[in-house]
Amino acid sequence: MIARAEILAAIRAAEVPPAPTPAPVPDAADAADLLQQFRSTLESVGGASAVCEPMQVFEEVVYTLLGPGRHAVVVLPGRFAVAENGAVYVDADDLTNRADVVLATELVLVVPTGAIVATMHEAVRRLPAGSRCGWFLSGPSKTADIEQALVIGAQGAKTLLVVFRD
Amino acid sequence: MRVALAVPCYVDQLRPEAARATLVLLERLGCKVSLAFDAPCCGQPMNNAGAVADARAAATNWAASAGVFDVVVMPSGSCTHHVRHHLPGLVDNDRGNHAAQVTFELCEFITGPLGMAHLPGRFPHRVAMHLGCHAQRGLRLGGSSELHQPVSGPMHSLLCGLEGLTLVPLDRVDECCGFGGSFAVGEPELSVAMGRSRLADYTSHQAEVLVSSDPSCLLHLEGVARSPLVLSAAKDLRTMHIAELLEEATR
Amino acid sequence: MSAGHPEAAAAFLNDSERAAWHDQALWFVRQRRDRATDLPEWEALRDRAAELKAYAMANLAGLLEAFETRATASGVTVHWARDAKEHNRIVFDLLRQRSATRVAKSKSMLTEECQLNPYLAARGIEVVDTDLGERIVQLAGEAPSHIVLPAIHWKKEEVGTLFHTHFGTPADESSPDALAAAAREHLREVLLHADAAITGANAMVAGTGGVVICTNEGNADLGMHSAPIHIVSVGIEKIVATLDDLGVLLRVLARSATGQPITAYTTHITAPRPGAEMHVVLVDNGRSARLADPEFRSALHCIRCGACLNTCPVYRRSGGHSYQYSIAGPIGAILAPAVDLDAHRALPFASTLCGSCKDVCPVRIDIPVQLLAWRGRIASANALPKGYAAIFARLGGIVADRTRFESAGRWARRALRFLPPALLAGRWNPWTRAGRELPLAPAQSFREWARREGRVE
Repeated sequence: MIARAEILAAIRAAEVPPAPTPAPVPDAADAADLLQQFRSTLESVGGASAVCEPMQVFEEVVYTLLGPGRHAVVVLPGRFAVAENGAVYVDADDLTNRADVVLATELVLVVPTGAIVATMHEAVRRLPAGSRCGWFLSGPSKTADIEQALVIGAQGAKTLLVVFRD
Repeated sequence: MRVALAVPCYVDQLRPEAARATLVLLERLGCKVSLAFDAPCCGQPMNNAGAVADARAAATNWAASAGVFDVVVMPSGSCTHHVRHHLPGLVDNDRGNHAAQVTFELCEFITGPLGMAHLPGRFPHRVAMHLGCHAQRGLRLGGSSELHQPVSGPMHSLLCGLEGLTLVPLDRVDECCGFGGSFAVGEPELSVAMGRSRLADYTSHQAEVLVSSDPSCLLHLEGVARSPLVLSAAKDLRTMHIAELLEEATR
Repeated sequence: MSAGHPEAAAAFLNDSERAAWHDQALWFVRQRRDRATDLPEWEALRDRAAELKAYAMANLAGLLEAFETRATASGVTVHWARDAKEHNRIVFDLLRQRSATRVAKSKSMLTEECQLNPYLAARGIEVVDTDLGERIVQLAGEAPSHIVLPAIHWKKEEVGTLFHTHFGTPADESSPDALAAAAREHLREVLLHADAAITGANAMVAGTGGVVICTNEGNADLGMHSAPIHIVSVGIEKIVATLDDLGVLLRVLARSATGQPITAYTTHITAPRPGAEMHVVLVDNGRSARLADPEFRSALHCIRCGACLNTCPVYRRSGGHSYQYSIAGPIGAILAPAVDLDAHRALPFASTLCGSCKDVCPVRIDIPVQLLAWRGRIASANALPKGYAAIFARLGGIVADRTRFESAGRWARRALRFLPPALLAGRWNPWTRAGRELPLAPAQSFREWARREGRVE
């Protein structure tokens, strides 16, 4: 407790002059096609996406995206998507195990159709109140630590799909 | 327009032709040029090295010299930057502020107060433009790639207006040449390596002429180009101060 | 000890091919940043990011208290550490009390600053760095050379040799895909079976009591959601007030760092998972002292994106290790002197003051102004690099006086014109020793010419 008191006292003694409260950033005027922007951005970060139409079978949509071969898919619910960076917000309250978001090799995030915001400004305002843990997941796990060569599937998901469904 | 020509210390001693070209050019553009500006140096070499106390006397003299003029023109972006941004803090009296307000870099003076975005002239060569960092990011006399701005500004405008001149594209449009004042001698290996990088960029785009509004960058780049250790293409590069180029082009 | 930056840089440049490769690798990252930040609102975002950091610094104590209250309420234990030693002891005590011997750590420049790894190793605790780049340098017994790209100075063939030794990959294997796959096996094994997970934090949010952690590999999440205890080491300056502020921060961070719109994993965590523990160690280690110094206060705004390193022509050509401080590059050069002015007095001079760092900084830290201010402090402390003090004292006297200036100039030009080059261009002369000719001196100065022309007295 001495440390806490000393640090806080030192900070207050620094007498930093007041700074104005930053103004909230206004929501983007939504003119753009957010779904299209999200899908192309997700693709640019190594992911893929599809819209599951009411008449379509979800599994078929997923396997069409994955292509032929054996798959071990983990499907997790996403709350909403962010158009500017291809991220999907996943909240730990919707999962049985937090580590699932990184343990899965092939990860499918299911997002309600139409749940897309333009930028992170709107995204952070939609974090559930009192959330205990949550993620913005943007594409599969990746690294460029060896000679700046992009490697998909560093430690977490090697494949990340986003499917919009009602 | 009546202007005073302030010749930076090292230009006076090592590149007098840049100062003469500035004088001739300004007179050709209709200015009455006074050479009565007496102080040799604005104090930048000392101030930039942290030797603030050693810079003060030179800066104070410089501000005193500027005190009797309404317009002072300098053929150096770096020195102009020092005068405008540092003299008010370095000089104890109000003359520091006056100096900061009346001092212009040559190109910004031509396109600004003289109001000439282009000069009639001809220079049929492939030219690589180097805007010194203090002119660019300090005085904002040109767009910066960091800010997603195109290559632009007074020197660029004046060069683009010359008939026959081709500005060569560069891989790195605004990277530092490595002079950096005391850096040139404090970190000589880095300084020279940076200079070589710039030269390789110019020569790989077949530039015949390297032009800059900063004679200090030229002094350094010319020295690196003339070294026997440097690729031969750089040796054919003609290095010119912008005043020399404009004076030659508008003869 | 970084008194020897020029020497270290010269050594790095000795291998000119490698130096050129290093320069180009980082220039690519800079170019990726240019593309990713080419948004119409980019400059406004930088303004907003600078404002939110200024606000956080002006209200730091209250925000830290608010963070602590909220985090504590949701089951997190908050610790306070005045310095590196105290931080290391807190972490060690937590580990010892739980008999933890194998720790998985994700990227944290703060634990580098505190030298946590050697501290724990000396006490029998094995720490594995789990970011791929950090693992590479750890296996090699090195420190990271870049705050975001720790192994940017390593070539893939060298990584291949290293992994052959440690992971048994084929001796000639150098494909990044294959090497990263081998590392994946190794690191997942470490992360899923560690006794404890240590992470850094990219931000704390006072409004939620949340810690925000960004990675591309997912290693931080693998560790923190698997181990029975998660310890977050974070500097007090990493706090932001609100989620709104966090939104701004997340928009500028990855774009500036690697040219990505956001990292692959961005975790906002306010509470431990059921049955596990979470601890946050708030570290001062000189930060409150820096806060009290108006000249250098804004250095605390740094969000560790690394953009100033990538754009710096000096960093790109001298490598991170030449700075001999945990944080290299322009930002390191203004942070290190505050830690130990004498040891790091060369760093503020390892810059041409070109200003590129200031223009890429997402929180608008005026790094060149601070470099210059440090130079001034170093001069005042009589600690200027060898020779500078004498040279500039003499030069300052000469150029302040017309008569002395002209006479010195005349002698200098005569020397340049008539003395044998071998005499002037020896190893002792820093102007010439790396491959730069002396200027061709004219017979007369401009002023002498003007006098002869009758243009001046």
